[in-house]
Amino acid sequence: MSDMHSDAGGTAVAAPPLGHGHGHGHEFKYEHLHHFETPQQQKSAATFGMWLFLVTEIMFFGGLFMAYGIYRALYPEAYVLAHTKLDVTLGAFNTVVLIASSLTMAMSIYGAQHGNKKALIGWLVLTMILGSTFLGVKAIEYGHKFHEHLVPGPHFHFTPGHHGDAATTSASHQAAGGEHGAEGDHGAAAHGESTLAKDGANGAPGAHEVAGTPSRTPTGGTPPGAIAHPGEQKGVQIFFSLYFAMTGLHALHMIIGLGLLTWMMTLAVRGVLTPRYFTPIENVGLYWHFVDLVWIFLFPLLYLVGGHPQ
Amino acid sequence: MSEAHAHPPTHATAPDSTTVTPPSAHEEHVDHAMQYFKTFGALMVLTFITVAVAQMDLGFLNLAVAMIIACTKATLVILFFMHVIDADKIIKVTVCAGFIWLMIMFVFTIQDFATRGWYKVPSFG
Repeated sequence: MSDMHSDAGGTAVAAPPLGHGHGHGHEFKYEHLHHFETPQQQKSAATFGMWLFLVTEIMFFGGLFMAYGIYRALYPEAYVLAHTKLDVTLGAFNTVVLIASSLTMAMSIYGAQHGNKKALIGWLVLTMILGSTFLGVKAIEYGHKFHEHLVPGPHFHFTPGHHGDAATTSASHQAAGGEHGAEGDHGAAAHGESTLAKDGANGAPGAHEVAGTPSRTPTGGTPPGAIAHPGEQKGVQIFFSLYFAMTGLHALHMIIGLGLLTWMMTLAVRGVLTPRYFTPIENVGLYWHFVDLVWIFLFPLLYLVGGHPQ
Repeated sequence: MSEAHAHPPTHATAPDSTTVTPPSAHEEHVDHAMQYFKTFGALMVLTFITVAVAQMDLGFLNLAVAMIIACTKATLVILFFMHVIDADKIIKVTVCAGFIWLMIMFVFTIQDFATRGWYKVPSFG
């Protein structure tokens, strides 16, 4: 403690380089604000604060993961059925893209730490391109889901089958879904939330709905192992609700992240980020890696549920 | 701005380097750039494995394997990309605390659902 001397006004003495390189006096206004004893203390405080925020983010997403887990336990077959509608190839591609963007983000910070402005900006641009690619692929996937009537709501309509099949038969879906599926499915699902408790009392989830819901043969004959009982139809809709809530919230974080990266770009171009002061980009990096972290769990949970629909 | 001088400063000129160790103090020993690329490589391999394993029907094990791999990947990201491995102790404690609270939420919610008998949960027998 004795050597944590606060030298008022003596910033030139109290500023050993945070990174390598040669500092310049005019950067002091960023790296050592007056209410911190040393630049290191300021940096530690900033990192600590960022992590506290990320912990709240962990709990924020954690609630959704919890909901996912509970409903997966309640509707295991429905999850297996529903996840076959997701395109594993696109999901895996996006996983690679996002992890790569984490690498470029880390390299960008590395550039800042070593005073290599060219590397800093180059890797930052790459990170933004990869982030945008992720969102672009996500938009395509969302487009497919809308097209295939897999968005929970009045037009939700689910027919078992793999992702590829749905695309080829989407015309018949629309014909069937318009007149038939919309009515029956929605009726069942709309009351789904409020009747969960009753399901339990009656035995199997969704058992009470068998009477009220017409049997579903939209494409002419139920395929083997299709929606055996309407409870699964409800489970499928819950799966897609969670899919959109979780990936949507994740995508929102990506969009915010891209905004932060744009801000970092202006700092980098203005020469604010130097080996002596790179806390902003380091904390944005932490945020970016966190978003990557969430996807690392979302990908297997949503795209790789596993098992075959019986 | 001076160009990329990866020139380590002589630490003899930093009298208070004992207070809070800046991350840069480690950089003479660890090439972080190399570490990032290795981490990336490991994450790619794990991504490939998790996709490959998901193609097999292992029943209950599918979820277990997927989650073990995801947790491994998350650990790699947290330790190396997010620098927790050479962060201050308070950061390490904060990160651990975050996951402990998450586990508290998971464990208590699951045991509640599993034992109250409100729902007949297929996966819980």
